Amino acid sequence: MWSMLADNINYAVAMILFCIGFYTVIIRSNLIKKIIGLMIMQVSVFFFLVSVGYLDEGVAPIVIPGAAPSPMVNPLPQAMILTAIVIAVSTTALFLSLALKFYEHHGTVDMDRVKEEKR
Amino acid sequence: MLQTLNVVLLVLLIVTALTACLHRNLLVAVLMLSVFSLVMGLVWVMLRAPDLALAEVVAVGVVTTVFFVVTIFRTQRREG
Amino acid sequence: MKKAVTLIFIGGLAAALLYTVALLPPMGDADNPTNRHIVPRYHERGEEEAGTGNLVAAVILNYRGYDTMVEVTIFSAALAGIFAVLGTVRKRINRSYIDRAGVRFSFISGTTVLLLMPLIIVFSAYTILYGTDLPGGGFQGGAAIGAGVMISSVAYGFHRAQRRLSHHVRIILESTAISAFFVVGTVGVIGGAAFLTYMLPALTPGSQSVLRTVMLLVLQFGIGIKVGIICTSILFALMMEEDTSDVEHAS
Repeated sequence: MWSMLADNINYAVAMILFCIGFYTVIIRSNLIKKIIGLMIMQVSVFFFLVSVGYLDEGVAPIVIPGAAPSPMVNPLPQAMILTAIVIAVSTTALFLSLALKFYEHHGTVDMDRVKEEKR
Repeated sequence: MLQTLNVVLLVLLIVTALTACLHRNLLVAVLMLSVFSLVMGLVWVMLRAPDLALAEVVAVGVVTTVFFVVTIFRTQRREG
Repeated sequence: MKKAVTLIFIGGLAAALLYTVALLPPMGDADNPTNRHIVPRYHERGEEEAGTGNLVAAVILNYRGYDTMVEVTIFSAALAGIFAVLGTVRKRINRSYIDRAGVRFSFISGTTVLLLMPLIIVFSAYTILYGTDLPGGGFQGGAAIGAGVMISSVAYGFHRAQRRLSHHVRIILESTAISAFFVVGTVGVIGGAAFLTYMLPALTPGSQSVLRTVMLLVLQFGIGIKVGIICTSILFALMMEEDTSDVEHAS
């Protein structure tokens, strides 16, 4: 099984990054840290999806007139992940503005301190 | 040769992500996020996706980092 | 306590994910099921059907044009959400924290921005224009120009930047992409084909390909300008603060 994992090392690193991001979102009480963890989770999923479409000895999916025909990698996940990058940026911006409003209302961005003060 | 480069880039990815998640100073964490996106750009080039490399470096490495820095400037700089 | 339970849960999740991932077919193999179904058609007939050399742009603009239209809408919706949370500025120019801080204009960042801005503008225009034949496209060039405007407004002062790019100008420019999509799509409907097919069946094939190239360029520019303006608007909204009544700009 370890040799099969060494073949798919891209997938394994994508899963490890996902778990790192997930841990950060759960454990850290600071809102900015949670947003950073969410960003790492999103990028790890993009990494996984594009490396599924990789082809050994493949070239970038751009047709150049007059070049020798060679196998190209899969262009479909790349197009989908391009849209997904835009969506990741917009949700991060929205989350950051919510964190700013939270700070103006409560005086701190730390969730633990807010929970203590509520008691 | 390319396999070794791939493994080195992946190890750099994990190290940068761990530093971004564990450091207490928020500005350092956001800078590590920007470095993470730059290394990710190199990984996209290794996976033969130049469009994604451009989009990732410009969108996550510059624009999202500026948003983070402005928000940290207006809230607080250290965690906890 | 919470940390230990979370660590055990994450460890179990990581083990399950790694086990599943090890059982997938090896990466890069030529007979993977992902490379066999619809992808050979994109490789063989993508260039002539879509009229671009960049196959990713062909998939985005032609085969999956609706997805791009909805993505542009999502970006606008995020901006609407940010304005709803943070508030817009209507009449007067707002002060910002950075303008009232005691930090003088820094020569290093100002000169660097001054020297880099022409290159950034040329680079992003090049990326947008050649997006159909080389790597690049509307989003990449637009985000680059947005980043350029953002760093110059941070270096030279929010006050000055907001005077040049006031709220009314930004509102008009924000709607370029969805208007471009609407115009380009409706041209096809008027001519007799379906929505968002880049052709008028009444023309000769030579001028049809010219019309398709022009429509793709209009779309790329629309997406690029929109993305740049939205990034700038988000930065202005984040930097703005509530207008406390009579604070004079201490300069």
